Amino acid sequence: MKEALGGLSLHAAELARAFDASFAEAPHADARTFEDVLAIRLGEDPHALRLSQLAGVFPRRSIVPLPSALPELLGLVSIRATIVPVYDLSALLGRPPRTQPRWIVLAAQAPIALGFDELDGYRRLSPDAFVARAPAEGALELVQTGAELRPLVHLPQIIDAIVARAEQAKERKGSVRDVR
Amino acid sequence: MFDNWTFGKKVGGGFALAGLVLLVIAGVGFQSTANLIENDRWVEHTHEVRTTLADLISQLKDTETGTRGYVITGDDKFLEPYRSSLVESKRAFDHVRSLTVDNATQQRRLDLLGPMVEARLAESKRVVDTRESAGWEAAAKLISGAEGKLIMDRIRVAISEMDQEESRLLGQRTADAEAAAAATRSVMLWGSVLGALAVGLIGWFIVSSLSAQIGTAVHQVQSSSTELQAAANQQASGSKEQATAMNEITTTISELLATSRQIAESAQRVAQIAEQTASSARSGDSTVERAHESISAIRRQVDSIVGHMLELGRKSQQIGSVLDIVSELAEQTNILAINATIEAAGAGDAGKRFAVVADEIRKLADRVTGSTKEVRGLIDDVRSAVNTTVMATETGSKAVDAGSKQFGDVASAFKQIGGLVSTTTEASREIELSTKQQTSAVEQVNVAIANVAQASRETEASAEQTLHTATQLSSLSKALLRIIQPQVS
Repeated sequence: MKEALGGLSLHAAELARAFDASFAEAPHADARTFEDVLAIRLGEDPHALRLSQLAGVFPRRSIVPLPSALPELLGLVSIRATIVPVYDLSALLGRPPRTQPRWIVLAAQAPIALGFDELDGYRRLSPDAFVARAPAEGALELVQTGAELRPLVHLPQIIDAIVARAEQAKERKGSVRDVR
Repeated sequence: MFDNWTFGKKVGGGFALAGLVLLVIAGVGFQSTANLIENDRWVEHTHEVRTTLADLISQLKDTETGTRGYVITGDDKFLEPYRSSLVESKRAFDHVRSLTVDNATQQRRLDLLGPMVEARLAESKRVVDTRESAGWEAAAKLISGAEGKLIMDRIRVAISEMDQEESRLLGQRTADAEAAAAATRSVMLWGSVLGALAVGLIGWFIVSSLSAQIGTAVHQVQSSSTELQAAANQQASGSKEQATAMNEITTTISELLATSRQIAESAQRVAQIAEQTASSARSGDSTVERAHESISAIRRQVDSIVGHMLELGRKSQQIGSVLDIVSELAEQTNILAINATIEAAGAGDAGKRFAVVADEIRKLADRVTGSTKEVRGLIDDVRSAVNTTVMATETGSKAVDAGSKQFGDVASAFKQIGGLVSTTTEASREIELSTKQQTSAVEQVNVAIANVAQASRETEASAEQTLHTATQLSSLSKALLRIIQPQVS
């Protein structure tokens, strides 16, 4: 216990030093190009989302269910006074559906939110961490985060598909129900 | 009918019968003797009558002789027999009359004889008077007159008749006396013979009856004395066995006495040890009481520790809650930093510096999150330690409770031990007392047994004496039997 406390106080001291240092050091310009990703989990499986493709990350909000033929559509949610539809990312990737996502990300491309289970955290990765892979549905790339390899979810493709379906539905009758 | 008579009755009856026979014989003999004496008296009476008659005539002769002597001599000394015979002859006459008062014939003759004697005496007086007054010649003349001689002859004849009469009576009475004597002799003789026969018969009867009776009795006595002998033998042997048994009992009782004394000493030692045990139990009791108090203090301390630990747990929980808030805040900060980074990226070049700050904030939030995780781990460690401690303490508390209870049990056990030990002490004292009483009782029993042994020895001696006596009695009864029934023995 004392040892742990000692470690903790050392840690606190380090934190304080780093905090102080952040004010002391001059803001360094990034020479290298970094790619920021969000490490997430769908069920037990790790995945990654490009931060540049997102408009925001939010903890779980109250989702208002919406009658729909789409099993992926969880309902509507209010984000920054805007009502956006929430889709189950897991279901969209052809995985078992998750009805109660803990996190919601807002896509940068369109006002569409996606729900998922776990947020592992923010990762700032160098470009060599991205590993190309044979194109597959929804996951074209892999990212190396620490010891894990995560499939990188290609969000624009998914949003495009949703939007395309919405557009088709709109073209038919202008009713979401008639998209099918 | 005589078989039922007792010895005394038989002997008394026999003697009474013999006495009766003797009494009858004596009565008859007495009667005969009385008759004989009466006859003898009558004979004597007759002899007296005859003597008195002879005396009368002699007196008359003395008168005549005295008269003649005086006449012849004129001497007064010759008058002496005359004068005495005057009185004596009258007295003899009266005596004869009185003696023959029962005989009428003799009385009649005396009536005739009386005047003749008077006449004779008057004649003599006249002669004497004549001699005195007229002298010798006148008197001689008177004497020579035949008157005096005539009277005298007649007197002689009358007295002779009387004498003959008396002589006849004498003969008759002598015959009577002889007859009475003969009767007496025969009564004596035959009475004696009869009496002897009766006594012999009675004696034989008594002897035979009594010897049969006594013989039976002696036989019984003999058999009884034989039985008595056997009984005395048995008694003697029994007494010897009893004496031996008494000796053994005395030995056993002595051993018992020694054992009782040992028991008393052991009981005394037990009582001492029990007292020591009681004091030890009391000190153990107080020690246990102190230990109990210590355990109670420990219990209170443990309770206090548990309370503190639970308080610590609660504080840790509160810290956890605070840490949760911190963690939440850090997460939200992180999210905000991510969103800021996203917004900064959208802002183009102007957002680059903001992106740097947001990155710093994000890093800080990351670190805070890491730190909160560490703190959470520490708090979890603390809580688990607290839990472990609380559980251990509760286990300890339970152990203390159990120990306290056990100490209570031990204390009650000590109290019980104390009670039991005091009971033991009392019991051993009672045992000691009882054993002492028993010892004194056994001593008394020993004395009593010694007395009994002495008594049995005396009994043995007396049994031997009895045996001796029985033997003597047996030989005596044999001797008695020999005396009574010689033909049997």
